[in-house]
Amino acid sequence: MGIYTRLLVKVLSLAAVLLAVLFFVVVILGATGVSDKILNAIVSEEVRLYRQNVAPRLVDPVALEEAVSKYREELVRAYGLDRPWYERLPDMYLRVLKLDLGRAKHAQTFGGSNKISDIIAERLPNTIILVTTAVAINLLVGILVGVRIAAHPGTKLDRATSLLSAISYAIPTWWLGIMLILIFSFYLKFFPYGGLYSSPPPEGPLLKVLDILWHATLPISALVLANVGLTIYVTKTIVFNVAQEDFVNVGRVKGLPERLINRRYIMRAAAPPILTNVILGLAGSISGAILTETVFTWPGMGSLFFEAIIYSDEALILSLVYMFTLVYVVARFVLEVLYVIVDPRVRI
Amino acid sequence: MSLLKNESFRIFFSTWSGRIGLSFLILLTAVSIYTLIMLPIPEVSARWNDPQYWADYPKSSPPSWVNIFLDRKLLETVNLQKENIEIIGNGRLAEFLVTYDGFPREIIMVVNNLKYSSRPPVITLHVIRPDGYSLEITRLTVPPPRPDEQPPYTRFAASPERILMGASDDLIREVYRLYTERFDASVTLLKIKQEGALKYLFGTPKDGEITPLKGVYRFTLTATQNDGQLSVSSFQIVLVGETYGYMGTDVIGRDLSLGLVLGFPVSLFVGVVASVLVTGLGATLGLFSGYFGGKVDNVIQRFADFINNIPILPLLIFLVFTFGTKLWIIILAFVVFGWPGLTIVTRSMVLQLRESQYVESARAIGASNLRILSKHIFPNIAPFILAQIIFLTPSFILLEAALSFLGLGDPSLPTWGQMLELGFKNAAVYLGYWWWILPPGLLIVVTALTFVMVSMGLEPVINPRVRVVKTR
Repeated sequence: MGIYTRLLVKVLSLAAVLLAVLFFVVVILGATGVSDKILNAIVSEEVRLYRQNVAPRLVDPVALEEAVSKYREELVRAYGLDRPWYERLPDMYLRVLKLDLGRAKHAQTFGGSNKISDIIAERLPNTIILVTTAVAINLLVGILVGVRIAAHPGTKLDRATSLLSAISYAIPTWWLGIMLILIFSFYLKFFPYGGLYSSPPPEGPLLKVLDILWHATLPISALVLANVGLTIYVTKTIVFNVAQEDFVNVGRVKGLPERLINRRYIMRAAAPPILTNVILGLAGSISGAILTETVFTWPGMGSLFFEAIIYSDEALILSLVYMFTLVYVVARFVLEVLYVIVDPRVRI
Repeated sequence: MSLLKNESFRIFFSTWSGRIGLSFLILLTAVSIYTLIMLPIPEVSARWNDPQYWADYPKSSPPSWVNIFLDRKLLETVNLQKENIEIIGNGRLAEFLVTYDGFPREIIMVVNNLKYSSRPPVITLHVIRPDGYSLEITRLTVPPPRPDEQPPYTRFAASPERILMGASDDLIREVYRLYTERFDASVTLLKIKQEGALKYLFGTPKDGEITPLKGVYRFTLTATQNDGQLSVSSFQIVLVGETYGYMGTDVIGRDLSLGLVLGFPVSLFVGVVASVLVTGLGATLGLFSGYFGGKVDNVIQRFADFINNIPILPLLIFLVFTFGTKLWIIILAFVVFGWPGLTIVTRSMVLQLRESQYVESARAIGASNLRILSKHIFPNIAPFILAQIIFLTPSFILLEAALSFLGLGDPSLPTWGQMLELGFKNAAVYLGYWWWILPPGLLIVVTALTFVMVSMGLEPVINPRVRVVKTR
């Protein structure tokens, strides 16, 4: 298989995953009657708007009611509310794909729009900034430290890493976030309690960026601290295993400098499995962000998800499940491309 | 079981993680069992969720031991209780001595399950202050018998009688009488009402101010009835202060130590049950997938791939949200999304075992598939599966906590995650109510860490690769 065929297969299978998840979600929504609720909400919202528009022109209340109920019937037919849910399935499916799910019950954009697609378009970048920064720092620290420790197995530092990774696994990121807020915001007052920027935001682009960084420090620290132990441990194990392979010894016997061996022999072979672990860990980071954003009131998709649950906003929950899957699938694909770059075996 | 053989156990116990993990596991199990025996869970859970029950407790109060670290001591909540009292005729029911230095926020008397045989008694609560002055705090007239009722007459049995005395007019008048007659202080009834009678009851005038009167207060309960027998199953007097108990209280006054203790069995139950179910399903599917191959293998592996490729938490949230926040639904959702990892690993192990010579010879003698699976293949992977149960447990404990924190926990059972949720929603972080958010989280971490440690200790015992190659 060539690279492009391989990537194409991956794109297709990930797309299939996305579509299958959607199918699964839509079927559940239909079977449990939640889709009726969503569509009914959209219909009553549109009827309300229609009544507002028509009321000034139609003074006779009987005529007004008639027009409104006629319009409502039209809408009910258009949205398929008069048919059983499984007949509406394809329609609902397309609606979700296009994020055409009406308005959120409570959430709003900064500008005041409550259209779901607008809200998500505003929130998505915030989540991406937070998660990618955290994953990048986590990787950088994890790999640097992990490789270093792998060179000295059995030391106290090595054992400390094992313990750290165990704690890392056991500590919920969101609770760590709460503790960081309690210590650094409540007691020490070093960092803000949450949010994306101060209100009012400072003047000038540089100050604005610094302000966002200041707000992002705690959430990113929580995401990194709660995950880095595991990354270090995994990296250490992989690098350590590779370092004992015969071809590495051959390199040493040839008298190559240690730095060259590290870079060209060990890291080259250890990179793909490390990357695999990053891919697997990504799901955790994206999911972890749901709760971490909530804790830090970071205006991303995670805190939006939390609001959606609080206000039982079915349409918004559905859209967010879709968006999270989409983001995850895209991230998987990006890493797949990286995989092709680092692992020469794939390219054959 | 190979695990419990001395050799394996010795290897396990020789690791520090094994030792620490096992001791914590025993501790957690012991606390859970104790909780299950001592506290009837449905009843206590209902009480936990009943704000009425906690009405008398101080709200958002730190634990009493914080006073060790404070310069200005906070007033402790004092709970005085006497049980199974019986008297004949008039007389003293109970006496409580308490050393106090401050103004309590409220004073409450609780009478539980009172029985009398002839005339309805009147119960009076008196206090003798450190300075020797005596006041009547309250007077409770027990309802008389109904016409068709036969003695003994039972009162306050279904729900205990609670009397909040801090703002009662009787107490205000008593305090007014004391201050005007004994101290010649210039007070008015209105002033006492505004500042609270308890301040005056537990204070003394000094330089025109009311300061706390430090010393021993003697509370006496007496019953007046002409004759007959009187019995009370418990009397309680609560002086509501600024701190409460060992773990403090939350915003509606709940004793957090109760919630923390109840969290143990729930957390262990969710973690272990979900883990056993997930491992059982995953391993079974893996066994079939690897052993039979072909179409079965294909279908199972495609499903496993699919679930491995989706972000689980958002979908879990979605499922629990649509199907309801019940414990069994939450566990079921864990099982639906949890099995694939184990299936893939088990399958690859079974694939190797299937080709081994002893399986081949068993097949040659004519052993059935079921026999080969249960007698030759399963025993080889059993230790690995057992280790997986322990390895997976913390992830479900953490997932349940996460769902609870999002407000998707089972509302009928108090969990640590739900305590954190309520704490967070009530701005405990921003108000510095650390006693509300630190202990539940710490317990989640400790519980998860226990299983991680045990699992780490098991690693050298059950290295699947070693086991699989080794023939029996």
